[in-house]
Amino acid sequence: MEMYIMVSREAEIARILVDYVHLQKKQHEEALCHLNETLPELFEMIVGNPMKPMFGLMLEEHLRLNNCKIAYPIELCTRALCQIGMDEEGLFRVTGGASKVKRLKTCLDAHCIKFDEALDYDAHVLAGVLKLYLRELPEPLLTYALYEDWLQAARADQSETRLQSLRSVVSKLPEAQFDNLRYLIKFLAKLCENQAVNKMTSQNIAIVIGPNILWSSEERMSAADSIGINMNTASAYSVIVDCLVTHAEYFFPGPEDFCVTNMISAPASNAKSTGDASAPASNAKSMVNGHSRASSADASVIITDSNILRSQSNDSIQEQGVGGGGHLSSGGSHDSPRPITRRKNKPAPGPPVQKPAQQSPTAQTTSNTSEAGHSDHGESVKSLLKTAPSSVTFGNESSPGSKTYVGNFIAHEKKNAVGDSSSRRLSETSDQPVKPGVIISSGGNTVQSSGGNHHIATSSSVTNSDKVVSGGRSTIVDVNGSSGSKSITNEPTNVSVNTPDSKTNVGTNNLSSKQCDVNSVQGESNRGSNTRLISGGGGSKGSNNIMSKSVDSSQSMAGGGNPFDEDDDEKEEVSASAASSTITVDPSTRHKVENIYATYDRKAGPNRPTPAPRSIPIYAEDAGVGTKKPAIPERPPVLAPRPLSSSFRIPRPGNMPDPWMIRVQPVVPN
Amino acid sequence: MPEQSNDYRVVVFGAGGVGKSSLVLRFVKGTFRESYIPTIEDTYRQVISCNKNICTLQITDTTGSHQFPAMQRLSISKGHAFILVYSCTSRQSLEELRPIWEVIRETKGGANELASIPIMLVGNKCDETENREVSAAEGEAEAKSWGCHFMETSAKTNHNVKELFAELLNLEKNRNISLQLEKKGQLKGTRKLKEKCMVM
Repeated sequence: MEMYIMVSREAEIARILVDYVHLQKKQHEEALCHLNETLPELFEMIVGNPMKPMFGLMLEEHLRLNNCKIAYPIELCTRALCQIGMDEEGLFRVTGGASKVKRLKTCLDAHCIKFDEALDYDAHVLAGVLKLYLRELPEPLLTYALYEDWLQAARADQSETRLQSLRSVVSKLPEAQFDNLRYLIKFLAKLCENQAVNKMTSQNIAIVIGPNILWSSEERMSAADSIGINMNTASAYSVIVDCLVTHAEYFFPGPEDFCVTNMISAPASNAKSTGDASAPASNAKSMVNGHSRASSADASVIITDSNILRSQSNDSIQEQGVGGGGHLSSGGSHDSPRPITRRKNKPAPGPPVQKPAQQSPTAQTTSNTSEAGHSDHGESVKSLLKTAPSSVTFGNESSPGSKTYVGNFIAHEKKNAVGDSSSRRLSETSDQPVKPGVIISSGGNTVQSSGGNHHIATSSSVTNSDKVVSGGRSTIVDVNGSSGSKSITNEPTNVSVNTPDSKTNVGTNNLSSKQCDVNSVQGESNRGSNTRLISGGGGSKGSNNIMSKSVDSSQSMAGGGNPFDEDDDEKEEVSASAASSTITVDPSTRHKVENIYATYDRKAGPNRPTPAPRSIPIYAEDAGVGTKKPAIPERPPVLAPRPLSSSFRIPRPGNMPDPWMIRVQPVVPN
Repeated sequence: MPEQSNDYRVVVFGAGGVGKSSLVLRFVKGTFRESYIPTIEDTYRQVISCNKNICTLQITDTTGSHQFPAMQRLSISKGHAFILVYSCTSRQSLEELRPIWEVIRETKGGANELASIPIMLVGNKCDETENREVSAAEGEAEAKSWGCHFMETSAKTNHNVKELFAELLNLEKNRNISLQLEKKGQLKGTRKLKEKCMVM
């Protein structure tokens, strides 16, 4: 009997099923729609984001993003070396610790290295990082376009003509390359003056630096096969660099000031970047921490600190964050002990960015602001922005009166505060009628929606934030000149309908916990990517995390992992993690289904194969030797001054008629 | 011309300034210079005996100053035996060797194969006792953990240099290689080699 009833209702059930499928379809379509809207914004964010990893980024791009003339890694290393490395024997020759080099590189990529921190590194590490940076440039400092010109110039027999032709090539360099080359060569020349101590003569410097600033596109592309070709050019590179260094004054007359940016002296930069109003506010974040004991503050602190304490565990970070907060809060107005030198090269344009009109010390704003932000759906983004800064950076400015917020802040804030802190805050303040719907966090950028409606707010402005909170101490948000004008487009889109509070909260908790995980992971991975939205475009490698999570009322499933790329994965396209959760729709109860995929294929940057070997003389000699008896290459007498390196010595004009030939002389073995 | 099949290739790795070139030059030419010149890459040849035949010992002196992985991998994939040099005066230089050793291990396959590859861990500059940072015991322990052999040398005082290469060649179990040939006289060896080439 029962069975018959079931069978008879089959059609009905089937219809319900179809309805269900329809609903699902609708839901997916909506989600797709939103995603389509979101993706371009995210992409825009990524492209304009100045927080791209520095290594592997086009020089011009780097300079543009940072609004500086000298690439930051070059300047940082150079300046540090000027202080601690000039007497180091074998500077640039002796390798630094690989792990430390990697660590410093990662710090630079994560934009959280300050000048005085760089001084803690070994000189060889700094030199290694400098070489690494030059080597990893997508295009050599001396440029592909002029490659032939360089070689041609280096081949000149006469020293005079060579100098002249080299100079003409130098003058052809684009401005960015010229400035950086000048800077570098000036430094090397200075280093060379000290050769009695550091043993780095101009020739030695040339040998070790040459292959780092010039290579042909073939070399870069070359795999094992074409390696042998480069043997002859290696010495040419050395000649070029040797000439440049030896005659630095000829090529680049005038003194060079290695202190290009004012960032290094911290307090000054601090004041400049943040402006007068914000100068005291630089520690506003810390103040906030102290005042608002809320989760938000904690979270934000954690996040920001995780940047700095790159390799520390979450716990320690947390500890530090809290501790720092308290400490700073006590001395509310004093400047943070360590200046923000997160971005050295920031143009200091920012000052007026935002003037905290009211320094209302409402640090407890966290709860308030969060509420406000959530209640105000139409301006959810704005409110978020506000709240974020208030909770994280400038507690003062969170007061709703100040709408003067500039997008730049927001980005930063969002990254730090909105993302993790807010979610956390939500979860912790579960008693409030907050219904966070969707949190899309990309990189550290989180868009949060709350209230009855789910907002997907994506801010494209993240890109603009030039500065991010550095340390637990102070915050500088800066407008990047180029992309600074971008408006923060926050588009709250109402996606779905009510979800039961309790469930939502659960979902939020999940989210927050997940994000905590993310934090920890990121912290461990040394990327400090929390605060950073890493670009998909432009060959940036590194972790590109775009996480989308949607809260599911009935069940939250997180599909998809959180892939955090290791920084050494250079080539593979990084797909952002897509955590999608689907609300299963129960036909009877009308739940809106919301599904968000935010899978972001990182735009595969120009594939950068591992640096091509400069030269592989190994078997090249075979060709020449042929039927000759194998012999120990003997150094021709003319090479006496540089006896050790048989195939790569710097030919001196006149001495070696044909320096480009490999000489293998049949020699009687001992 | 493709490389000769009977070449026996030894690759010398190590951080910058540990004395790779000095070691090789001391072995090949018997000289030592105080000069301080970075190497990019040099290859030296020596005629040796291999399976009662003449073959060429190629010693590739690599650079310690550039980290060009492709170049390194190529050297490793083509090399038959490896000398990993660190300086007794720099612990850092010993640590630098580990990644290289790992690449060798990966490139050369599994544990069994690795065991058959002659690898020597060498602590150079053992004459500089006052600056010593790495004791012989530490080097020995490291070598043990890597499953390779260990020796301390000094290119300056010509301590253990010849022994190093002799030991390395002794480790090669697939062929019977020795340095002895040179004693027989240069011309003969050369002529034989030429003949061999012509046959090929």
